[in-house]
Amino acid sequence: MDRINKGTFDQMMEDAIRCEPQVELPVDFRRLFLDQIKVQEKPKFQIFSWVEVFSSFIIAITVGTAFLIPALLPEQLSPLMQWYIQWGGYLLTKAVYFLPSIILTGAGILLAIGLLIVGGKAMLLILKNVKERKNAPLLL
Amino acid sequence: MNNIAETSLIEQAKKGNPDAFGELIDLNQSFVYNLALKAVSSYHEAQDITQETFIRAWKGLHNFRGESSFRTWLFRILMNHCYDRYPHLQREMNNLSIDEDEIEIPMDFAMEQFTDQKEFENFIHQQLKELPEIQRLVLNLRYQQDCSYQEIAEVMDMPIGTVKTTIFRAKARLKELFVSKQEVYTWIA
Repeated sequence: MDRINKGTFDQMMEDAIRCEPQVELPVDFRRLFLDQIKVQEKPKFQIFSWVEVFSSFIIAITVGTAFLIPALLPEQLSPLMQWYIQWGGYLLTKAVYFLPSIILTGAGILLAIGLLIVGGKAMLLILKNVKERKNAPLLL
Repeated sequence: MNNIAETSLIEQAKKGNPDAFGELIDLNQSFVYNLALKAVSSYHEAQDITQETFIRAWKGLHNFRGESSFRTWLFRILMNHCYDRYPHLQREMNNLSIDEDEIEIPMDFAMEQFTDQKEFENFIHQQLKELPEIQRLVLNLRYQQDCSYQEIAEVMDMPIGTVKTTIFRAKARLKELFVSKQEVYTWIA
């Protein structure tokens, strides 16, 4: 029988606490964890980041140009621009009551929507292909 | 593993190398898991908490500045997760008092040599499970993880004085239990 040595009780208690057996995790814990973070780490948003930057840039330039044009035009052209805007407004008011223009306008709007949808789908397809190619090394 | 090797693994993991992080998991998973077991009674829950700790560590690795050891940082994440998931732990910690006058400490007694070393250790291990979670956690950090009082205070988010008092009370409680066991043995004998 291994008798307790007469040291301080505190010391013996501390030694006993230190000797408490450690429980081990399952062997494949690391593998399961790494599989999980690799799944979570597929960066969905990163694929779109350059597209977002590019499209934001285009929109910003367009909006900025639209606001800056009146300020940047020479003073002599300003009345001419105003005349053109008024003439366009007059034509638009007249066209509201003109059937062919109504039909053409509707067709134009539908065409624009169709082009947007097709263009969007094409973009998604291209991005999907790029994404698959980018993720391929992770799957190996 | 020495600090330089661990620092190198951390730097690689920060760059997004999951295998480097896997090495860090191998080094620390046992310590984190055993600490989690002190907070919860279930092996399954402790495993869940351990996994969540490592996920949070992976996501927040860029926040690790090396001011403390990596293991202490993991423990801190673990405890924050436990406090969120088990509010009673936070309540228990908030109710800790550093008023030592309230504690009745058993007087030193002469050790009766009627029991052997192994039996004593088994008794202590058994009684550890009966202690409140906060005391178990603090004892684990102090005596099994060899953390300093300052590190324990950071991990548990409590003042250093409270850390010392908690250890003191936990040991006093274990002493009380041992004394009452001895009295029972004496009575039986």
